[in-house]
Formats: sequence, C-alpha cells, structure tokens
Amino acid sequence: MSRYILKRIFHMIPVMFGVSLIIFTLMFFIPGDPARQILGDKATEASISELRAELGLDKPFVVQYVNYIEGVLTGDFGISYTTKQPVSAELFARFPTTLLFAIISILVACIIGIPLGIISATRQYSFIDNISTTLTLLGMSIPSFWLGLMLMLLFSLHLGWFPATGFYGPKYWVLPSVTIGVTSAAFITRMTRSSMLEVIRQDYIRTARSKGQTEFKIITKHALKNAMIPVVTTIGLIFGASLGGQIITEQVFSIPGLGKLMIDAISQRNYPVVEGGVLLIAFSFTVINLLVDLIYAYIDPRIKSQFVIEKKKKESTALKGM
Amino acid sequence: MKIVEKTTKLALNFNTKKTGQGYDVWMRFKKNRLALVGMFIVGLLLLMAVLAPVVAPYKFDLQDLLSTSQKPSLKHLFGTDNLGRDIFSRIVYGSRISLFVGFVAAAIGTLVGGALGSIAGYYGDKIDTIIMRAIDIMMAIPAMVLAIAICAALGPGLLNTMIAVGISTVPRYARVVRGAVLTVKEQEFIEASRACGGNDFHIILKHITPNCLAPIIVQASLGVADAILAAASMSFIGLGIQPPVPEWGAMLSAGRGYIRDNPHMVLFPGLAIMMTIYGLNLLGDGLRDALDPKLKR
Amino acid sequence: MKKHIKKIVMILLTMFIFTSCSSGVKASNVANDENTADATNVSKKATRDTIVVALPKEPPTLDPHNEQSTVARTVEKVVYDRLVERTNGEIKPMLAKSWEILDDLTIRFHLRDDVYFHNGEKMTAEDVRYTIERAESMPASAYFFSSFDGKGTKVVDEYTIDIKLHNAFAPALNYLASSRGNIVCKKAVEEMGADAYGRAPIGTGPLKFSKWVSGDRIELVQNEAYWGNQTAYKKLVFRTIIDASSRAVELETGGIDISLDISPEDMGRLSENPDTRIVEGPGYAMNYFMINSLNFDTLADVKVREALAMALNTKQIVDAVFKGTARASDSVYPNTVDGYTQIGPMEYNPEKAKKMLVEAGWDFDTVLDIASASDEKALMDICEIAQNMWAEIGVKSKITSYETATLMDQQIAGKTLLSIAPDNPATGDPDHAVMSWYQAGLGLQDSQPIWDLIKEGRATYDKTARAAVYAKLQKLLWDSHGTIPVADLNVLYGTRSDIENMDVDPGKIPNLAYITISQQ
Repeated sequence: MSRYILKRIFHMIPVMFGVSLIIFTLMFFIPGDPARQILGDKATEASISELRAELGLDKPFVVQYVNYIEGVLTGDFGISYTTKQPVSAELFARFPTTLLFAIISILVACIIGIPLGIISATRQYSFIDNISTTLTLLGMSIPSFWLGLMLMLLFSLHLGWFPATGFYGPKYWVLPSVTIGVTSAAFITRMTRSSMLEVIRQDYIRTARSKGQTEFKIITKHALKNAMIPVVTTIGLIFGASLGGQIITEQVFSIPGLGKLMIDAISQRNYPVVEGGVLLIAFSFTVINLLVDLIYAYIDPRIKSQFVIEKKKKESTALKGM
Repeated sequence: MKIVEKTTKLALNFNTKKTGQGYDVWMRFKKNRLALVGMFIVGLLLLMAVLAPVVAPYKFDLQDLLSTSQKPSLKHLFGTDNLGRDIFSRIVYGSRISLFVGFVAAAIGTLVGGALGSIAGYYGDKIDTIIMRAIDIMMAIPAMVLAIAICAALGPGLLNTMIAVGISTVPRYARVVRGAVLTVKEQEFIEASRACGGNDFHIILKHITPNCLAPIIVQASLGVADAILAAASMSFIGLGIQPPVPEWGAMLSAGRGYIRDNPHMVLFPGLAIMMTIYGLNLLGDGLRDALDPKLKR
Repeated sequence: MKKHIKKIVMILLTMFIFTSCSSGVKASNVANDENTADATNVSKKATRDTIVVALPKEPPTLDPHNEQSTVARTVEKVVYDRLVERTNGEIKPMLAKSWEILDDLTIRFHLRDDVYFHNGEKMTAEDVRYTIERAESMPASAYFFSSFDGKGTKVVDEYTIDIKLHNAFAPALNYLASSRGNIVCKKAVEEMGADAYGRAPIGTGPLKFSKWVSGDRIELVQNEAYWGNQTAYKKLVFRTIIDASSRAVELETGGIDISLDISPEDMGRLSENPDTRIVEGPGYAMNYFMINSLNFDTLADVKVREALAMALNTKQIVDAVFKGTARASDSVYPNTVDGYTQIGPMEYNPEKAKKMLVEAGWDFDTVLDIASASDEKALMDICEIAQNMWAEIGVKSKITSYETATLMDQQIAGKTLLSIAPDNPATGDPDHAVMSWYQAGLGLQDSQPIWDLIKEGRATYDKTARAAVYAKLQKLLWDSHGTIPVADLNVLYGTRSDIENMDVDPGKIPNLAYITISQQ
C-alpha cells in the first residue's frame, strides 16, 4: 500500500513538469505585452523594452523556461508583475479561502445529492424521480451568477438573514456555498442515480431481495457500497475542479479566492501568477485524485487487492477505468 | 451472459445483423417517454436553427434605440434588449450559434478524446501510460483556465471558442472511453474476432467502438450541453463569440446588469439554454438506456 | 458500509481542519477578520466611525509611481498629500503654502513646516525633491513627468524647493496636483524598497495605512497627527467588489457606505431608495473612436472620416448606453477640461453622409474593422450601435473585441484602423486630454500643425493665451476628424443617505477625507 502511494507520488513529478511546460508555452504565445500592461498605454517604447529586459522577457523561450523551472525547484515562483509581491505569498494568501469554499460547497452538494440520487434510483420513473431529474437538470443549467444574485436579493436584501458579499465567517459562507452546491449536487444526484440503477439490477441484489431482506437494508448495505465508486470519482472531480476557483461565484460574492486571481492574471498577462497558480491547482488536483483512489480502497476491497497485485505485476496501470 | 452471446454473433456476421440491432434500440428508446420528450426538444431546436429566417419576426441585429429594454408584448414576444433588439429573434438565431458551438466542441472532444482513449485502452502498456500521463497533465489544469488561455492565445472568434472549449474537454472523453474499452477488450468476442484474423484497426472500429457507444453517447450528450455552458461562461468573461452574433451565453451576460429591473433580458436566454440542456440530457439518458441491453426493462 | 462512510467523513473533516490550520498565521488571521468584520458592522451602526467603500477592482500597489490604476489613486489620495490641490478647476495650496514661477523653467514652492509622515519623519524639501526625481525616473510615471527635471530640482532650504522643468510646461501645477505628485517619504522608500513600500505606503495624508488583505480589502485609520482637518470618521475600509450588481446590493443592505462605480442600470433604484443616494457630476472621462491613418490608407480621406462621424447619432447612442449620465461630445475633450470650447455636436445626417461617401469614391464593399474592448460593456454597446448606424449608410464593418490588454497593444502597435478608446485625463489639463495624439494608434498623415499647437499650449503659462491656443487646437482636431468623439461621461457615485460632502471629482478620484456623516 505505502509503496503504491509512493509510486503515485513519484508519478506526479512528470505530470507537474508537463503542466508547467504547457502553461508556460501557452503564456509565451499569448499576444499582449506584460510590460505594456504594467506601464500603461502612454509609456515610452524605451522604458517598455527596458522593463522587458528586466523581467527577462527578451530571452528565448527555452532560456526563460529553464530559468523558471530553476526558480520553482528552489521554491521561487517569481514576483507578481502587478503587485510586485512574491507569487508564493499571493497564492497562499488566496488558497485557504478557495480550499475552504470548495470543502463547504462539496459538503452541501453531497448532503443534497446523494440522498436524492438514491431515492430517484429506488423509485425509477416515479413522480419523485421525474421531479428530481427535472430539478437536477435545472440545477445543471442555471447560470451560477443568476442563482447567486437571486439568493443574494432574497436572503440578504429582502430577508436580511445573510450578508451579501465577503467571506469572513460562517454567516458569509452560506449563500456562495449553496450557489455552488446546488450545481454540483445536480451532478452527484445524476451519478448516484445511474450508478445505483446499474447496481440494483445485479444478481446479488436480486438474491438479497429473494432472501427477504428489507428494501432499506438492501439499499444501504448492499447497493450503496457498490454504487459509491463512480460517485466518489465524480465528487473527487468536482472537488478538484472547484480548487481551480469558482470564477463567477467568487466574483458575485466577492470572495478573495484563486479563480479571480487567475483570470485577472491571464488578462493582465501576469505570467508568474498564472504559471504558479496553475502549478498549485494542478498539484492539489493530483493530490485529491490520489486521495480519491485511496478512498476507493476503503470502499471496495477488490480494488485494495489490486494494490497488492500491483506490487507483483510491474506494468499494470489499468487501475482506474473512469 | 446475454450481451456476450449477442455481440459474439454480431462479431461473426455484423453486416446482416446491423439493421436488426438498430431496430431493437429504437424499440427500447420509443418506450421511454422522457427520452421522446428530449428528442422532441432537440428536434425542435434543430428545426428552429434551420428555419431561423422564417421563424424570427425581426433581424437579429436590428436595433431600435427608441424602444430599448421593453417588456414582453405582442410586438416583441420576449421584449427587447438594451439596444432595442427583439430578444425572441435573437434567441431563434442564437440557436444556430449555440447548437453549432455545442456540437462542434463536443465533436472535437469526442473524436480526439475518443481516439486517445481507445488507443490507450486497447494497446495498454507503454502507450497507455504515455497517453494517460498526458491526459493527467491536461486534466490537472483547470478546464476553464485552459480554455481561457487557449482562447487568449488564439484570439477571439467562433472557431477559436469551439477549439478552446473542445480541447479542454478532451481528457474527460479520453478517460471515459478508455474505461469502456478496458472492460470490452477482455471479452470473448474480441478474442474471437482476433482469431478470425481481424486487424487492430478493424477490431477497434467495428467491435470495440460499437460496444463502447453507450458511455460515449452519454458523455457526448452531456458534453454538448457542457460546451454550450462553457461557451456561455467564456462570453461572460468577455472572451468568445463576437457581437452582434446572438450567442445565448453572451446575451445572458450582456443582460446581467439589468437582472433586477428588466429580468426578461436574462430570463429568456437563460430558459433557452436550460431547455436545450434539458433536452440533450433526456435524449442522452434515453439513448443510454436504449443502447445498453442490460438496462432493458 | 457505515464504517466506510465514517472514514470518508473523517478524511473530509481532517482536510477541513487542515485548511483552517494550514498555516497558523492564516488561521488566526481568518478568525481575526471574522471578529473585526463583525465588530465593524456592529460599531458602525452605533457610532459610525468606520466608512466602508467598495472599489470595482483591487489596486495592485499603492506606490504612486508604480501603478496605472484609478482605484489605487483613490486610496492614495487620502494616504498622501500633494504640493497643491486642484478643486473645481482651481489650484489651491496643500503641502506648499505658496509658490512663484521664477522663470519658464523654475517654480519655487514654500512648504509647510508642520507636516509629519506616518512613520514620524518630518516632511522636508528633500522628500519633495526625491519624489520629483523618482516620478521622472520610474517607468510607470516617467512619460507623465517627462517635462520635469528631477536632477535639476534643487532644495533651497529645509522648507523651500525649486522645481525645475526641461521645457516651459504650463500644465506643471495640474500635474503636481495629480496622483503622480503624491509626496512619498524618502527614508521609508529607501529602507523598505519600492515593492514593499507599495503594499504598506507611508505618506503625510489624513489617513494612514493599517492593513491589506489580498483580494479582499485595505484598511486605513485616522492619522491623529495630521496637520490639517481631521476626518469625520476613525477608519476607512476599501473593499474590492467586482460585480456591479453586488455592489448595488451591498449599498442597499448597508454593507458598504460608498460605491465608487455605479452602473447606469442601477441608478434609478438607488436614487429612489430613501437609504441610498446617487451623487453625480460632470467628469473628465470620454469615449471616442480612434482612427489610424498613418498605417492604413482606408480612412485617409478626411471626407470619408467626416461622413462616418456624420452617420453617427451620438445623442441617441449616449441616451441608449449611458441613460442620461453622459453627454454627446461637442469637442475633442469634455467641458470640464481647461480651455474647452464648444464646437459641435456633429451634425447627424445619414443622407448627406452617404452622398459624401459616394463623392469621395468610397468602395462600399470595404469592410471596416472595429476593435473593441470585450470587458467594457459600454464600449461594446457603442461599437454595436455604431456598426448598425454605419450599416445604414452602406458602410460594412466587423467588430473584433479584445481584452483590454490586447486592445491597448494593438492600438499602440498601430494595428487598429478604427478602435474605440476610453480616456480619462484625470488631471483636467488639456495637454493630458490630447495625450493620445502623441502615440500611434491615432494619427494623421499630415499632423505637423497639430504638433506645433500642442507644443505651444504646453509652453504658454498665461491662462487666457493658453485657452486661445487650445481653442485653435480643438477646432483643428475636430475638423481633421482624426477621432470620432462620442460621449463625455459623468462621474457617478452611490452612497448611503447619511454620507455627506462626497467629493465629486471629475477624474473619478474623489478625496474621501472630506466626507461627513449626518446625525439623522
């Protein structure tokens, strides 16, 4: 098991290199001059080329990339072009907020999504199922800025229950996490429903039924456990994605998270922040994936046994079929 | 098991059996009322897109600065926007753009992702490791950031938006397809086909792909919906399709400042997106149920 | 299964705890913020000694010579003082008690002797000299202060300074009154380094910097040792709220006291609401189309440009886009800028415009490229309407929207034929208002007469004579149709009803030290 974890961590190295190369290349080819952005539209050509040289932007691609990687390896992610602060400080000022926001929203989503999915699956094509299908589809297609603004109008302006913007404490967390939670819950409900449906049709469920166990017991004891794997995958994916920042929701509720920072950085051509941010997000995403795989092992002993086989079979990478 | 018998038969004389299988699928699909509703909605949308000039009472870019931000009325069914354009006509024309963007982006994702996924799944070993590592890399970059960066690099415009959104969804398709291929690959009928002398290309295309269709179709039907939403989000940030082209997402974000006094400006484009996604999802679910004989009721 | 769920929950909980304590500093910070945020909310209702202001963007830094952002300047305005101050178009004393123009290249300032920086240092002539030298050399402010001679500027005695100019420069006082003229503390800048200084600035203003939470807010507190009038409140908090609708909601709920950027859509509601009010006044900002005839021949014919201008119903555009918060341009710069003379507005006559095009031999198959800024809704709207109005006289066009970053690049690189340009000459000086003519992106094939007049305007100190020069320049620019002026924008602020004396600065950089709170 621990060897498996080590191996996975080892696999993260090439992934992180790849991520850095892709984002560095993209940033290199984006039109728009960061020096011009920093100095403004009326700055002289001379001062702009001077600044380009200072930032090392006049060097060839390979040199710039190698310099960047050298910096990263020594823990130096560069200096933000706009704020002139170390990128690492900028990112770590925002990351806890994003992580907290992601965790709360995913909890909200699970609390709504999993039970709803189970109920729909057990009562397939019933009234409840159709309502829940419609609701989840609605949830998936409601633009988050619309939902966020509506919640804000109702609960802060008219009822005065929650503050409208900011992220300073539990009272402030409610509206944004519900906004995100509703959308994510839709995905989780769908996944739970379809995976439950598949499991319920399996022979062993039929066997359990024929043995005369109660429906509740069948669902919770036999079906749920086997249906959880794709659901956990979905939760992991949604959680990982929300670590990239919920750009629009962050904007509506003015939450100082990573998403807004990244988008601003792209539009201001603030390369060090974009690159550092993507690396951080990618890193946490891969860590979450690893955690999800470990959770599998707890849920499904069959997969756990694969870890053991893994040790013997060298090249079996067919671990996750998702 | 049934599926194996059936597909083994199929593998041996697939030419004659093909129509029979399609008929089966249709019979199963027909029974699912919600799926029919989905098909109806998508069909209606396609029809609306094709017949846009006939259906729309006004031109989509016809401005009337003297009657801006009007509430819905008989003259303007869905009201007018802040430049006095008829929202109904814009939504009708917008169906062309949104559906086009959605389908093309999903097609890019399906083709590229599907090809990568099936190659990785079928060949396994080193090729699988390399492809999946590349997919891991793409997956680790947040899709929205990737799409925005690609869009910023390529410049704005319809085509670039589709490419950006399409590429950012490749990893999802690749993983789904790979997973499906892995489960199909080990089954007897593949062995049988190989024993009958089928080459890899033939096997992937004729045997593996049809048996992986269910997850691909489900993913693609969701993917079209996702792509429409992603394009809308890009428009929200100001990248994406150029005005005065009436893309629904762009209409939605253009109207967001008016949401409190003139909610119709965001309501109708929002509803249009919602209906489309609803329809596509119902259709996708229906197709999945119909394509997967295991789920027969 | 239950056991497994428990484990999953445990993992999630551990992660949760991990986040809250990920770094001890951060955790305590969050807790603190929570307390202070709640505390300010509560105390605000009781005594109102905290004023919360919403900014539409976060300032990158508060170093006046190292940024390009209007929002940063609003914060800087109360943290720093300047030698002189411009109110209602008049130059008034601030850190300088008086000044005299010794010759064309020298202005002597007599400074106050009772001014201290927030770190306790006394403000002297050396700080002023250092500021001028720095403003001239730091790249972000250099172009703006290029007429100032930092090296030549001499300290006469502790409280007297001779500011030198490279060339006769009439706008000097207006420029010194702008944010680039904020007097920085030499000792602090040198000790802290420019980058750190920008995030924890030290000035002489009525409020001093206290705290910056990245992406969220900046807090200032009253400077009890201030030389001038004390502010009517103890604490000023700037919160970054990007979304315009959210700012409006926060203002209505009372979460903020002032919003520095109100979109026209929210105006009606905010002025009807008894708890909030709209403060509006004429501004320096303007929107116009830039035409580049240096790199493109398409619009080289002045008759064609005139026809394009004539085909635009600017009154209608302004009403539709700005809902009464702007005027149709009637000169090349707004009436708030010094030396303004009314020339227009341009006659709207599509038939005549079409005839002029035909006479000029315009090829009606040409498709004009209009470059626009995708992140500015008003600019996009203007372009879309213009596209439609030009279509009515048979001129085809295509809009390409860029992010502001790219648009700026394209304009300066001279790659845009026709582009929308927002401009805010925040000093109110006409030299600043015609600054865009210094660059490519805008340009005529024969612009020597324009250069001559710009130069003359800079060198003319006498107010009436200067106004005469700019009257000539405005006429010349207007008739050359090198730009198509569209709208002169008002400044709009939203405040709670009990906020009074809101400074309606035309440059969108209000001095928040003046506001008072009425005891209803």
